[in-house]
Amino acid sequence: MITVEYSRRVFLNWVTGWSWSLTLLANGAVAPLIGMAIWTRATSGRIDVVSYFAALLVINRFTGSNSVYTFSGTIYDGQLTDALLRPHAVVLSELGWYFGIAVFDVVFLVPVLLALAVLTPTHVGWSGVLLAVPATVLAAATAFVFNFALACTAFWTQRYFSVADAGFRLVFLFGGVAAPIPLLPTGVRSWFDVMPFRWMRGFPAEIAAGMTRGRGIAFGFAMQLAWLVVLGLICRAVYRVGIKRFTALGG
Amino acid sequence: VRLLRIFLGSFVVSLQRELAFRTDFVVRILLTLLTAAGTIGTLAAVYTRVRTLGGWNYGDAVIVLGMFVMVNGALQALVEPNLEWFQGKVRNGLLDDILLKPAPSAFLASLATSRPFALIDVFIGGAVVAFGESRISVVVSVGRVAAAGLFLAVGVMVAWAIRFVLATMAFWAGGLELTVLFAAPWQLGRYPTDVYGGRLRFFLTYVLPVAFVSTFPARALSHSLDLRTLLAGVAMAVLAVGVGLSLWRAGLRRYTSATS
Repeated sequence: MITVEYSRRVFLNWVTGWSWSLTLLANGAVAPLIGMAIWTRATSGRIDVVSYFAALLVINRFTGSNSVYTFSGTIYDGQLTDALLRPHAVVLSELGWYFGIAVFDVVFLVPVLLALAVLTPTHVGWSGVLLAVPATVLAAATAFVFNFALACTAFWTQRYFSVADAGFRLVFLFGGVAAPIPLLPTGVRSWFDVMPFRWMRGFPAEIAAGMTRGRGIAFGFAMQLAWLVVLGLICRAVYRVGIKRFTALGG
Repeated sequence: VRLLRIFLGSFVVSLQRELAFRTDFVVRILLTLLTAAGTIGTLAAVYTRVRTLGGWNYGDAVIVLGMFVMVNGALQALVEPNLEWFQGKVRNGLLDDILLKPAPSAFLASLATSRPFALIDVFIGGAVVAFGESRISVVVSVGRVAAAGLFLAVGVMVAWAIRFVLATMAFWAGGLELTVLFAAPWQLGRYPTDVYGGRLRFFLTYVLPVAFVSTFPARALSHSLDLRTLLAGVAMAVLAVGVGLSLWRAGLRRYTSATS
């Protein structure tokens, strides 16, 4: 309930500042659209490639997190003290941020999806969608704990610019935004399999587009669960150690 | 000369401020190297499927990427720290501070503060260009390097002008945060504009001319480039800077301090 209340507040804030919110939404759509333009041309217009980037455009919105900005900010300016005094876990307000923005995005992504369906030869089957939904949920959860762990580095640093940038760039390069991982040469692909980034971004889009099937999907779900547990434990450990260093303002 | 002295003075102050954040500095270098390597790797992956893309081969495309990293580095180091969140400065009346100082306001608004460590990107971009150049069969002559250098200067001026024009929009549309919106189409400059479709290519050449930032300097280095294109580039830079300064003056006439 607490998270729902935070989400409602964030959603209303987002609606009130709609021009800023839509700007962020449009900004997030550009990387998948560039990828679509380049890779469609390189693969002579393969429909699964178009579908992959169309799906990624949506999944991108649910697998990002503002924690690096919101939570890090509260550590630097000491406002975390206020959150610590409240009778609930600090992470609930961060989850509120996440869900509030996600609901806003859903409302505005519907016309974008309709436009993509009309303007591009996108084809996503129902079975792909049904499997992509749980994959997106797991990807979003993994991305959330990853970003929250990155945000906790603010306990040790004085600036979050490069840390925030690091998270963004790692996911962009190794998560399947710059290139669909199934299209990479086989030798390179195995490197991407052992890193967490594919499982928190590109994998659900691969399922939706039909690029990954059968055993590949089962392997992907197993990797998502494994990384969620590993990053969740790392996140908890980093927060517990970090919070002991927090000394209110300038902590 | 006076503006140069002000610029150098503020650059030194910015450098001292940046040196206080050493972890940020180290992470930033590692990230830039990683991104450059990752993007070259992505290009290599694209070119395992095609020989040319929009008429550009792998080496050419790497040169375009290197040029973009260089100009982007200059923009992030010298211009962006001044113009990010500019809309808020206009709305809150913070421009007063700039307008009261005895130096040209356009200069102070867009170039007075810097983020010197971002200039590392310029060197890394240069290394990427050198790598791309080693992958092309064309012999790079002094004339080509000079033409590319001239186009690079044009690219920096155009980049400044685009960013400045978008910032001045805050005088008319205070609700729009164009800083973030600019970052998106700007990234299209990482690839040769010939890769994109006809209308988008036209848009990126004449409306939001990111083609001048990376594609044309790279073409000057790796393809033949006639004098007419070079002159068109210089004319575009002069025009872009002129438009930027005119809009700034027009915008200032609307500025009424806080809540303008």
